Amino acid sequence: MSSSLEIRNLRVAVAGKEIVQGITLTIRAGEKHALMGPNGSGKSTLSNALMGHPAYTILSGEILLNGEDIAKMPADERSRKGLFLAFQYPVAIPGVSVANFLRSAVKARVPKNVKDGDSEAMRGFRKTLKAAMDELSIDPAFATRYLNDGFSGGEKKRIEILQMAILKPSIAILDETDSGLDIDALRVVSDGINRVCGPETGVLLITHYQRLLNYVKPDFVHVLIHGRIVRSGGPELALELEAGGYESFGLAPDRAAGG
Amino acid sequence: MSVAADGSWLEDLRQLAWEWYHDAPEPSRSVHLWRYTDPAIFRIPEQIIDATPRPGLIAPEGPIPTGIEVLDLVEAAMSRPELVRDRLGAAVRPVAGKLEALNFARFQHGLVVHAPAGVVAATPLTLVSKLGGPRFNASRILVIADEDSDLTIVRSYGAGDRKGEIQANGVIEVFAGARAHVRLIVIQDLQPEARLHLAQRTVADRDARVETIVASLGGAVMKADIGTVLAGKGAESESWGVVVGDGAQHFDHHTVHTHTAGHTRSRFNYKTVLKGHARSVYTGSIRIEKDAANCEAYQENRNLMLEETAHADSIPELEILNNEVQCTHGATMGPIEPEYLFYLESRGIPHDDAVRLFVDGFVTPAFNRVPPAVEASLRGHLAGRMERL
Repeated sequence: MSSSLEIRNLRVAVAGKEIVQGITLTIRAGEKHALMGPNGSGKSTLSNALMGHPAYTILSGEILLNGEDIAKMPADERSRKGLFLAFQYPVAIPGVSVANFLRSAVKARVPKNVKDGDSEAMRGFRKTLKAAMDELSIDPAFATRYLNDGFSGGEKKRIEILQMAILKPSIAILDETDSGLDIDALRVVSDGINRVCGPETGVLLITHYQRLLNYVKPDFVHVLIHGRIVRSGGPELALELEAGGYESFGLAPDRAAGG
Repeated sequence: MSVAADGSWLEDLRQLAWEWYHDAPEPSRSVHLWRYTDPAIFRIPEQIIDATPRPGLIAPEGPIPTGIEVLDLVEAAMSRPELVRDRLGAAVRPVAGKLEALNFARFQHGLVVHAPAGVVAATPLTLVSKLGGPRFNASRILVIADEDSDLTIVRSYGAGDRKGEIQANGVIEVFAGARAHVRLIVIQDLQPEARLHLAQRTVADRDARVETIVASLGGAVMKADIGTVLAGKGAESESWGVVVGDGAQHFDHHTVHTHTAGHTRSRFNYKTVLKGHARSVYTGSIRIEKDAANCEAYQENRNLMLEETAHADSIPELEILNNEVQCTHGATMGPIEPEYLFYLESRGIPHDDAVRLFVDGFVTPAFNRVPPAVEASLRGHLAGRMERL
C-alpha cells in the first residue's frame, strides 16, 4: 500500500483554546501539498498536533497514517510509523552529538531482540550518515557537534533535512522550513528537500510566504485562515496569494499584514 | 613537634589523632558543614573500628604507569620520611573534623603515589576499592606530583561482595608541584547500603594545573568535602561533579576553592540528576585571600529533577577579600523542558531513552576532557547507573 496521511475533521486546542477548527486534508506518497496561512492561522498548531506534542489536545477528528489512526499515539510511535516533522525552531541539546542523536533514532527502529551487530541499519550507520551528509553538502564535522548547539538558522534547517534523509519518513511535514533563511540557505535547504522527498514520500509544506514554493514545487496549495482551510487549488493559488495577500481570502486587513 | 627519625613519628601522630577523635564531640548540626546531613549517620560503635592493616583495600588495577611510584603509606613513612612527613595530614588535617581524625588514626590501607619531577605518565593509574569485608573501611591516598610531572589517577569505589551497611571513610591529599598537571577522577559506585565520607584536598603550586572529577552514583549516603588550594601564582583548577541519585539516596557535596596566590583560576561545574526521593545538597565555597589579586573563579551547579519528589539545594558561598578579581556563580534547578523531550521523541526515540540521552548530554561536558580510557570507564558506570534509574 502506498503511503498516505488523512486528516479528517481535525479540531485541536492549546491551553483550552480551539485553534484548529476542523481540517480535512489527504496527502499521498509523491504529492507535495503547501499549506499557507498568516500568523495565528493555526499552522504550527496543526503540525505539532499531527506529530503528537503533549501540549496540544485533539478535540475531535482523526489522523490516519497509512490507514491507521495515530491520534492517540505518543510522538515516538508516530515517528517510527513513518511520520516526520521538520521543526520551525529546532531546539539545541548540548552534550548530545548529531551522530549520537541520529544513532539513537535509528536504533529505536531496530526490533528490541535484534543486537546492534546483527542490524544492518546499525552496522551501516556511520556510512549512511556520511553519505547523507555528503549528499546534502554538510561538513562532516557536524556529526560530532552538539545537536543544534550554536548552529546558525540555515545549519539547523539543514540538519532537520539530514534527519529526514536518515529516517526516510513516508510523510514529511515541514513547518516554516524557509523561515530565517537567506536566499542561499533557502536554495540549499530546498535542494535538500527535493533530493530527500521522492515519489515514496508525501510532503506537507507549511509556510507563510510563497518564496519556498519557487524551489519546492507543490502539486496542491491550501489556504488556512482562522484554523480552517478556506481554499484549495493548484500551484496557481500560491501566486494568487502572493499578488493579493491573505486579505483577498477574507482575512481582516490588520491580521493579513502578518509579521 | 619533634619527630623520631624512624616510622614511629607516624604511630605517635596516629595515637594523638585517636585521642583527639575519641574526645572530640560529635559534629553539631549547627556547624556549617553538617547542616544538611545528620552526623549520626556516620556514627560508628568503637568496637567495630578495626585498624588491622588491609593491604588489598586499595588495589591498583592494570599496570602502574612507567616512572610512577606507588608505595604503602606506613612503609613510606619509615623508608621515605622526606617525601611523606611534611605532607601527610597537611592538606586534609586530622583535626579538621572527627571523621578526618578517625581516618588518620585508623586507616587500614594507605598509598603514596609519587610522580617524580618531569615524569609524564603515559597511562592513567587506577586505584580500586571494592568494599566488601568488614563494616568499617578507611583508606588514605597521598599523591605527590613533583614539578613538571603529569599524572592521571582514577580512584574508584566499587561494590564488593558484602551486603548490608558499610561505613567507608576516605581521604585523598594531592600536592601538585610547580607546572605539574594532575587529573583526579573519583568514581563512587558503591552498593546501595554503603555510606561514604570523603575528604579531598589538592594543593596547587605555581602554574600547576589540577582537574578533578567526582562521579557520585551509588551508596545510600555520600558526604564529600572536596577542595583545592591555589597556592602558587598561575595555578589553575577545574572541577567537575556528576551526581545521579534516586530512591532515598542522600548526597551532600561541599567544595571549597581557596585562592591564596594571585593570578590563579578556578572553574567549577557540578551536575546533579535526581529521581524518586533522592536528595542532593551542594554548598560551594570560593575564598579569595586579600593578597590574591587578578584571580578568576567560576562556579556552576545545575540540578535536573526527573521527578518532583526529589529535592536539591544549591548554596554558593563567596568570600572575596580582594577587589581585583572576577568571580561568577550560577545555579539552576528544574525538570527537563518538555520541548527537549518532544524533539527527541519526535524522531522515534522512546520516552525513557530520550530521558537517558538528554541526561547523558547534560553530564557529558564533565566527561570529555579526560583520557579516552577514563572517559569510557566513567560512561560505563553512568550507563549502569542510568539503567537502574
